[in-house]
Amino acid sequence: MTPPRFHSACRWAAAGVAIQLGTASLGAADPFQFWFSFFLAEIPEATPGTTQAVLVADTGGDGFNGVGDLVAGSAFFAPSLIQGGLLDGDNDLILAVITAVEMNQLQRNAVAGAPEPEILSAPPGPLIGIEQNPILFDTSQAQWSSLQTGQQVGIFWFTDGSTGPGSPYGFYRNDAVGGDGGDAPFFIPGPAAVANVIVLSDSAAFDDGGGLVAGTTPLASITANNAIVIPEPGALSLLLLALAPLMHRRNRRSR
Amino acid sequence: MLLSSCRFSIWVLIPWIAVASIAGLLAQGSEDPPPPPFPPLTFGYNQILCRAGSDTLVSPALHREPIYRGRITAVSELSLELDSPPDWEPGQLAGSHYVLYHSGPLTGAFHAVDNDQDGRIIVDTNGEELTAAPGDALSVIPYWTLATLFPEDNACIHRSTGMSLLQRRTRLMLPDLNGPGINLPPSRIFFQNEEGWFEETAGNAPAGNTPLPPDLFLWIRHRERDGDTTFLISGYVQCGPFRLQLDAPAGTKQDNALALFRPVDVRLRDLGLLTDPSVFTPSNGTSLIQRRDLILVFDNDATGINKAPAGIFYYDSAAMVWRDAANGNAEAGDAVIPAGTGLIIRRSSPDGATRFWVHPCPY
Repeated sequence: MTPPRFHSACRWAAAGVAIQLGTASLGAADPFQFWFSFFLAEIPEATPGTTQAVLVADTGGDGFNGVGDLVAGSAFFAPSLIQGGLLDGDNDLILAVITAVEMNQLQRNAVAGAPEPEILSAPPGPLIGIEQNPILFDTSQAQWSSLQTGQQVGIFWFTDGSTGPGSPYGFYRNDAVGGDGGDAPFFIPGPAAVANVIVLSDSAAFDDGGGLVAGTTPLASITANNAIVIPEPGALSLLLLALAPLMHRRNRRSR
Repeated sequence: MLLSSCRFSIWVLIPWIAVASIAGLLAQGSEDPPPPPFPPLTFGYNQILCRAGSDTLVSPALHREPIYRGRITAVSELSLELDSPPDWEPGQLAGSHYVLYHSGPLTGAFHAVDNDQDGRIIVDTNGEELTAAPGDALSVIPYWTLATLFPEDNACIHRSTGMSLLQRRTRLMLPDLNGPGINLPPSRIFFQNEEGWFEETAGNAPAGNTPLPPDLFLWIRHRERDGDTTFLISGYVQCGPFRLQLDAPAGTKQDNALALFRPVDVRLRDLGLLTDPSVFTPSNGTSLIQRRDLILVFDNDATGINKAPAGIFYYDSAAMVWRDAANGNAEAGDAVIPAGTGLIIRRSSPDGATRFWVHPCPY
């Protein structure tokens, strides 16, 4: 699988957030509180009860820990995932740790992206996802004091529950509000807000009371980073050695 | 000017008030002792449009039928002995009822019933000294709850189709009454499905019996796809003053989420907030640094969620007018708190003392 241009995307995102932070910080000195709830389905190759996900906020405005950071050797995943802790030893703050579950309320949509869902008669297994009831965040508390309105939020998942080298992981975020009943994008909301982020893949559907409603998020965008493997330290060194000439050449060009 | 989408059957009140007035006049002409100073028990309704894709602020502006109306015969600490009380089971009223005082020093105030036994009611005054006296009139009234205000067949709430976040439709949010500071988010969030009301907590605890005090407002959040509905409440009108509690820790600003308990529009100039400057501090002018206490009002006609206040009102004591900071400091004495909604009073207090605001009866 070819990863998307995550590194460059992260750079642009970080630049955007830096601008946002610069603006927001002018009036964001006072502590504030907000609610945040989260729903994501589906997570391919996830195992209920095993796959762990973390909702993280980019409190440093420098993008999320990801493939690019790993390649550059500047980041690593924390060995344990703790709410209020840091994901990468840097500044990606863990807002919630969520265990994947079977989502029995969902059905398989045979024709992803079609306006009307068509349910598979013989679904190939349950849909797996994560769900987090609303959490109240209070930035006057020390563990949340680095949160500011406008910071990007993202979701990492670790398919086998491990964050060690060699473990597969995935990542997703979106600047837009999902079209599946959610009411907030992947950003820290403003004071007093109640933000509900929902992501539902277009290969899933659910009964909304008035009929079946299909998800609108292409599954490919959710799976884009899935099964990317956290490099072994040895492999990381080799990778860095291999990339060194390229980086040197790029630096010369930029001069 | 805030527009109101509320409709109140004020005409329902007119014959009742007329009958009560005639009865009062007749009573004055007879030799019988005057009747207890109970306000007339009048019935009305209020309705508010709840827009799709929006947060709508509503309040239980009418109360349920009292289970007791009578006088206090004795007071001891937090205990009220009542005249000829019904034969209540011990503890029957605890947490589910409140007393509303109609006369005496606590006129217009309400206290939660903490316990009851042998005709005595123990009230929770929230630290306030109980100043009620023998002879004072009161009513014992059951709280609205989520299940009684929004029963199974209500037409306001879009019922969720399950317990999952994805299946939740209308969410109902209660303001934070205890948290310190300003810009406080809701303190609790609920949803209703076919099995009843549940709170959005770990485990989704059943919440149908959650009491809704008369000075509380609620946010109703509809999803965009679910369409408009109407919040309809029918019940008894508080025909008398109503007392509201205002807090502010010393030296800091505090938001007080309040509902007026009135099913009619109330103009700012009729709020009765300015009778005591220790309750609501006027501003010395229009400048930001001169601003003191504020009234924040939300517009139910505007669509959207997590709305900012549509009106930010303060009293300009230099010009002796109400002004709206959200509208160029325009004069705003005729701006209204829409019927059956609510407001936030943002106040500061040099001494940190709790103050009580008695809203005079507007009808």
